Amino acid sequence: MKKSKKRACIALALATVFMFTACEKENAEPVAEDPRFVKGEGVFLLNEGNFGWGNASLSYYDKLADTVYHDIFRDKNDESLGDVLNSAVIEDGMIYLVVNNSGKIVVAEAETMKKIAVIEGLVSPRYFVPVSEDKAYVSDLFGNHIRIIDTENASVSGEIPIEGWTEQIALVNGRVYATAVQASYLYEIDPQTDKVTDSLFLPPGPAALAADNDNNLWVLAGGEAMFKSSASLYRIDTQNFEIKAQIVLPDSPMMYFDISFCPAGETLYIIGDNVYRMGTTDPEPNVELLIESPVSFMSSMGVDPYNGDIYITDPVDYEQPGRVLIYNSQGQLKSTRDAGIIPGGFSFY
Amino acid sequence: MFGWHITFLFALTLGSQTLLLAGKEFTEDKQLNHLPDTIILLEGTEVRGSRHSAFGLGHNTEIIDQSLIESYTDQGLDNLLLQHGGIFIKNYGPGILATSTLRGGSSAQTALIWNGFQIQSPMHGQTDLALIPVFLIDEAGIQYGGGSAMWGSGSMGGSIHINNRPSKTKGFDITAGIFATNIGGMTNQLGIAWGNDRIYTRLRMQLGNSDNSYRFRNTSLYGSPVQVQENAAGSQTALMYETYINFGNRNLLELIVWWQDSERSIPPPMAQPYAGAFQKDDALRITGHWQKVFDKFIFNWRGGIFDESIWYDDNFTGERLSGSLVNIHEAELIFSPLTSLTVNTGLNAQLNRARADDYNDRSYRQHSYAVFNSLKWEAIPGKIDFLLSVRQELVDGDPAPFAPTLGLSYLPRPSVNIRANAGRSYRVPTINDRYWSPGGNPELEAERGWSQDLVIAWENPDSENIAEKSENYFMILDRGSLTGYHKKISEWIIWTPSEASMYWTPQNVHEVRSYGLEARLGLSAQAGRTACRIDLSWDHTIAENTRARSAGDRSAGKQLIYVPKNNLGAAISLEHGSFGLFLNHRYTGRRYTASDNSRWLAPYHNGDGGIHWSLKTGNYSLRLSAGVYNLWNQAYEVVSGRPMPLRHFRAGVRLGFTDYN
Repeated sequence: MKKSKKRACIALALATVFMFTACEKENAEPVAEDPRFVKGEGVFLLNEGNFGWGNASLSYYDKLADTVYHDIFRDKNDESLGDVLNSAVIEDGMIYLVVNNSGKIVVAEAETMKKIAVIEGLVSPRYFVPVSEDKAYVSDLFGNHIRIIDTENASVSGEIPIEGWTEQIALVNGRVYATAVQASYLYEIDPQTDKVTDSLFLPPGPAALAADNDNNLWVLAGGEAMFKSSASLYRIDTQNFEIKAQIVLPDSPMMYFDISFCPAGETLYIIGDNVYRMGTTDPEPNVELLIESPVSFMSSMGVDPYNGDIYITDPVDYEQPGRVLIYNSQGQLKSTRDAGIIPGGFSFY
Repeated sequence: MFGWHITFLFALTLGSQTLLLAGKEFTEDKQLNHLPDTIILLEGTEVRGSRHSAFGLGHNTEIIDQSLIESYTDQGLDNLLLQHGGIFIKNYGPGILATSTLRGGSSAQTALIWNGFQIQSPMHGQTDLALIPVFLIDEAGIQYGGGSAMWGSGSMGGSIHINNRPSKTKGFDITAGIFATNIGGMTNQLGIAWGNDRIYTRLRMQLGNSDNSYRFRNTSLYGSPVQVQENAAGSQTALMYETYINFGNRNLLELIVWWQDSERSIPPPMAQPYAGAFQKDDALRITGHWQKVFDKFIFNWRGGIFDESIWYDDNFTGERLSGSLVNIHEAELIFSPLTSLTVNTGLNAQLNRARADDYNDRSYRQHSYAVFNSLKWEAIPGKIDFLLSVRQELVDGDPAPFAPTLGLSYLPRPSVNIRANAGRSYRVPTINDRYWSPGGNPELEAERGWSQDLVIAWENPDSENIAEKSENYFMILDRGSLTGYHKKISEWIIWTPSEASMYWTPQNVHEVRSYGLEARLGLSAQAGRTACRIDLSWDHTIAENTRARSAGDRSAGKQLIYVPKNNLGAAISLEHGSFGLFLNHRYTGRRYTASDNSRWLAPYHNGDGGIHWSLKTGNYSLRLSAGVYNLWNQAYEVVSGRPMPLRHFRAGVRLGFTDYN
């Protein structure tokens, strides 16, 4: 009996040791120096986060200090940003953060990152564009509409019915243009009346758009992977809303998915399996390889409006913080910086 | 005497139980030295069961205590398994989805085996454990480590075994139960059984529904306010019919029909404000088993048809329908050509058919044929046993990895058993992996890997004596075991964005090395009429990705996401006359959510407790039970963005009527 008791006591002691040796202390991430968000000196890195995990985040790259600050929204507001940060726009000192799967737009002061308001009542918002001093439009993946936002009151004030998925949206020459991916249309909207005034059929699957210095609108219809047909770039004359040119892009194993202009507005960058460039003022535009992808998948591209640097995101394996690769306008790698989970866009401040 | 107690000593080595605890396996090993030259029929031993008990030599196996099954009878298998530290249940919340992880394997690398049949979906290789009612289970257990030589594709991290067993009593047995929760749940159960010397038949039915309106802490919002889940309601109807017939002590026939229908709303993650997803899961599983006992060998045929479908709908993607039909046949012979040698050889044929809206409305077939052989040799009767098992499977005409296993059991002392096992396991790509549109990859290779186990188990030889001799008080260390293992899996399939398209597609990219320790201790105590049992467990799991996939990949050498390094468990049960009490406590370590281990979910402690009171008068019995779950009211997430309920309660009453002959 004594032996049994002794064994039992030893067992309990061992169990207690197990309990304590296996318990871990949670290590906190190193606290970074308090960042300063100064106009012209930095870039907000938009990290989508994993779908459904609610781990979208915002990083900030201070170009002068060459330092990246992570999770700045949570640090400043003590709450998470939400689920899938899709895009952001800075307007009048405010940053509008479009959080897709949370169905909301978070409005924060760009200089301090303090949350000012949350615009709710959205379905699956994608892109935000201010169209007047107190009004903005938001495209939507599933909503069958473009929402009208009252930016004074940070609320939804109406909607413009459009069937299907609307994606990138831009204000050019007093009119708003929105791509509709599944319907393969580009819509023209009058921001005074909030009515669709015209549309163009731009197959296959127009998603990205950008305006040049002459107020021509360039629309990328992504092509092969989704629609089993070649991708095209369209040049749209916004005065008459008509197609002025169609450039069929070289067949690619991967869909072309975004375009951006250089600061001077005469060179268009196109991202797909690699990054290509094209002179838009050339009489015979030629698409040429600029950056051969050094990663398995480049998930987004941005062009710094101040110095023309090209920013590329590498989500790595989608389960760890990704990277940002920074190239000069000649396609030479300048540096690589850390980002958050699934970096997917930029907002140059 | 029941007919299925067909019986001969030979059966002791072949599978007298479907599942064995380490200690139980241990006991049987000790009996191996009594094998006679030829098969001798004995009374009172069952042949029924799978080949696991005899040919799972060298593994760490655990059977779940019957009292625990009783305590969780109104819940899903996920909650029952959660009480075992060695298995990590990846739980998205009550009624949503619960899958398992063993030894760092993926959920598709854990086989769920029901009466010897794998019942994971051939479409995605997983089973939602939340949909398996504990009420329909008589035995449950876990086999740790690779088991492809026995179970084929999928059993790489281990296997969960659930079984049905006929009762040994004769006559009528009727039970009816009703259980309620404070989160809007109600479960009704009815079981009717009848048996005599030759036939045993039983019908079990469960009707359950729950609002699942549980409280949780929304950590995605400022201040983490407590909210009430509003979109997790569900209902389930489950029915199981079993018949066991014995013909002349040499033929056993079994027929089991299991049908269930589940409907549930799927709540959004915490950071998503809108809901609207709904899922309906239907399953019909029919199995048959014929066993014929010849003088020199035993013949088993098993067949099964599993028809399952999932209908999913949400506001965005719309309705999606998918379904599968599995047809399995297996024939095996068991014989003993020499006194010390037992052979199990057989053939397995399986046809999987699947259809889905996301296969571009097409249906696909997957044929597989397998031959398996096991030799068990008693090198030194009562001391040393060896096992060699091999399996070769052809899937759609292509050979799957050859799967050999070598096992050893050594008893240096009657109370000590040392077991070792080394083998190869594999998992062939699922139909979704190959044909999902877009993204399916028909060129995938099977996952494959080698694993090694070493188990040292100890059982107190004085336990029974002390219990018998002690009148008032005793406390003893009953049993203990320590298992070490190592496993390396290559060609691990993960879905990832393809370099060739923007779609996610499965690829053979990961190589994962796992190793760890599993420690178990069991104590028994008694004070007067109060008996106490304490079980302690510690599982230490290292599961590392060994290969970086790109220049920026920092996951090499890091723990896999959602594989906690440490799990600890303590289970205490007390019995005092007709009263009983249980208390289970678990510690779950950090679950990394980033593959470079830079982000994680905090560790948590969690506990359940309950009491029950039983009364038996004549032919009638009554059992009242009440339990509290998440006893410490911990706010935690097992999966990021999916909150688990704060403290909640269950209570139930069960009535029984028996009319035994």
